Amino acid sequence: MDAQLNSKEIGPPIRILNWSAWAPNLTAKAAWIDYLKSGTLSDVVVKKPPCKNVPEILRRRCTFVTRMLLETSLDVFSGTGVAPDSAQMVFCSCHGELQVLGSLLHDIHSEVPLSPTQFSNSVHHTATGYFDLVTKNKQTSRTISAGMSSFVNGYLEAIGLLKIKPDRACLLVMADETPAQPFAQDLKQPWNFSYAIAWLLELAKSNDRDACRLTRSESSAPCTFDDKPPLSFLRWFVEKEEHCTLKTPNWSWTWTKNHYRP
Amino acid sequence: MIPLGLTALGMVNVLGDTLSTISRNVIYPHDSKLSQVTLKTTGEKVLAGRVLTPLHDLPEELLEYSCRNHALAYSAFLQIKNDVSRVIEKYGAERVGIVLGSSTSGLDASETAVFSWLDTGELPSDYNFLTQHQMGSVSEFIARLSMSKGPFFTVSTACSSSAKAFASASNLINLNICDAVIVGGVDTLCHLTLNGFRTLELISNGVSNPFSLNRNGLNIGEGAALFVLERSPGIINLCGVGESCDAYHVSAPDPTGKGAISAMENALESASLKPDEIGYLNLHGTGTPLNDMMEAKAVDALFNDVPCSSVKPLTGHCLGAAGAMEAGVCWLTLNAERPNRLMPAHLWDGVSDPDLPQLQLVREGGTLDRKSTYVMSNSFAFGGSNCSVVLGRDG
Repeated sequence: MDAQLNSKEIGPPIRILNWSAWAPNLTAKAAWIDYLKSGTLSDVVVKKPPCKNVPEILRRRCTFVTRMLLETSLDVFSGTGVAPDSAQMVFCSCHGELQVLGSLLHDIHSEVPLSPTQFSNSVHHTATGYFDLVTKNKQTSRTISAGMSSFVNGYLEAIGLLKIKPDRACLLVMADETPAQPFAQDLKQPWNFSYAIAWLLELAKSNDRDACRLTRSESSAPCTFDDKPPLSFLRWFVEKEEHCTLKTPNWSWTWTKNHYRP
Repeated sequence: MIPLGLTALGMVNVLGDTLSTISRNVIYPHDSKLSQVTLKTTGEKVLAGRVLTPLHDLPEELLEYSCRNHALAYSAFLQIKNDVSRVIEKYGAERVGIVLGSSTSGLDASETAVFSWLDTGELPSDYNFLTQHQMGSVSEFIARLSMSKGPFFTVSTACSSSAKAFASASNLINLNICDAVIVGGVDTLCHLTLNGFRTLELISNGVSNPFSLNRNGLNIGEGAALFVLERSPGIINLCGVGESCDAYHVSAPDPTGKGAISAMENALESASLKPDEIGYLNLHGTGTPLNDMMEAKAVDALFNDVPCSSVKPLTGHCLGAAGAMEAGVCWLTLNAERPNRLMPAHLWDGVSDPDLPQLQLVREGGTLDRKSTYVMSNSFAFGGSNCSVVLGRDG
C-alpha cells in the first residue's frame, strides 16, 4: 500500500513496437518465448550470431557482443515501419568488450604490439559504432553501464530521448557476454549467459491500451521475477503479466500496461 | 533546453589539483608538464599527462573501490564536497544522481591484477573487479561517497563519454527524477590506451601540436572533473548539448567534418543560439592529422572566426574525462570577472597547415569578447560519436 501511495510516474507512456533477442542457445524468437515460459534452453549452441544482413567486410571485424547487438537490432525493425537509420539508440552493457580487453592485456603482458582492429574494438560502445555504419544511422546514440542497474538506467535514457524527440523511435539494447578469465572468477553473480535483447520503443498515445507506464517508489517491494533485469522485463512483456517491478539501489521501478490501470 | 546551473567544479589533471593552479596553467602555458612514460609493447618513451600530485587514500569504508582511477575521482570530489552536501540538504538525497563519463574506468587495477595472474596464477588479494574496474563502479563509488540516493551510472563512449554525461544528467532532471546531478568524467593512464594509440600510430613523438603543419599525434593524459549540475540556473549554466554519429568508420572521423558540424549545430539549437553568439570554442584538437583536418573544416564551415584553442598539449588527451575536463576549462573562463575573462591559450609551434582552413587560435592573454557570454566545447570519439556542449554565463 505504501508503495502505491509513494509511487511517482516517470516520463511519458511508451509503446514497445517489437523485440528481438539472441543467445548462443536461444537463437529464434520462438525459442525465447519457450524459455521465458518454461526455462527450457536449446541443446544446440550456436557459436556466434550469423548477422546475414551485415556486409562481410564489416562482419569479420565484429566482436561477439557487436554481432549479438547487430543480430537483434537489425531484426527488431522488421515489420514496424521504422527505418533503422531514423531511430535514436541506447545501448546498455555491464561489461562491454571485456573479452577483447582480456585478450589485449595478454598481448601487453607478452610485450607484443597490439592489433589496431582489436584495440579499436575494445571500447565499451564498439557495437553502436558498427550499428551506425551498417545502417548509416547518424542519430543520437548513448552507451551506459551501471552493473545490475544498467537496464533500468538505459530505459530512463530511452524515455528521456523520446521525450525530447517524440517523433523518433528509440532502439534500446542490452547486451553482455560471459566475462573472460580472470575477471569471471572475481564475480559473485553467475554471469554465465551471453545474450542481447533489443526493444524498439516509441512514444505512446495516452489512450493506447498497450502503452507502458513507469512508476518509481521507495518501497522494498520484491522484483516480479528472480532473473536478470532485462530478462525479467522481457518475460513480463511476453507473458502479458499485469506489471513488472525491478529494483535498483534505493528504488523500485514498476511498469504497468495501460489496460491494467483502473 | 532550459539552462541548468553548473554551481561547483572540482578538477585534477597534470596541471594541478586546484582550480586556481589549473586556470593559471591553461591561460599562461609557459612549459609542458607532460612527463615520459615507457610503452610496454615497444619499449618506446612517450610523453603523457600523468598526475604527479599525491592522491588521497579512499575513506576506510570504501577501500574496496581503491584504484588510481577512483582516487582521481575522489580528488575532484573533495573539491566540491561542500556543494554536494548543500544540494543534498536542499533537494534531498533521493533527488541527487550521479552520471560520470569514463572510457576505461579502473582498468589500471585490472592491468596489475591480470599481469599478476598471468605470472603467478593468483589475483592480488585486494583486487575486486566489480568495485574497481566494472564500468559502472566509479559512479557507484561517487554515489556511496556522496550518500546521494538518486540513479547513478557511467556513460562510456570513449573520448566523448563525459561530454555525453551532461546530456544524460540533463535527462535525469528533465524527467523530474533528480534536481541535482554530480556530473563529470574520469580516466587514468593505463597500458591499454598508451599502447593502443601507439598501435594506431596516433601518439606524438613530442608535445602534441594541434592544427600545425608539423602535427604528428596526441599525448594521453589522465584526470577527473566533477560538476554539480542543478535544476535552478546559476551564474554559469549548461545551456545546450548536441550529439551526432558519423556512421563513417570504426575509429577514424568523417574527413568532411559533417558529423562534427551536426553535433555543434545540435548544441546551438539545444541552447537556442546562433553561431556568432559563441565567444570561445574549446576544440577537440587532438593533434592527429585526421582529427584536426576534419575539425578545422567543421569549425570553418559553421563559425566566422570564433576564437578557439585546444588544451590537449597541456593536459594530454584525457579520453573519457576530456569532455568534462574541457567543459571545466570553459567554466573557469566564464567564472572570471570582466575584464579578466581570459581564454585558454593554444600551445603550438605556430606553423600553419596550408591544407587546413585557418582558425583563430587563442594567444596567451586573449580575453573573451566583451559581448560574449557563451562558450562551446567539442568532443569526438571512436565510432564517430560526437558531442558538443554549450556553457553560458548569466551576466
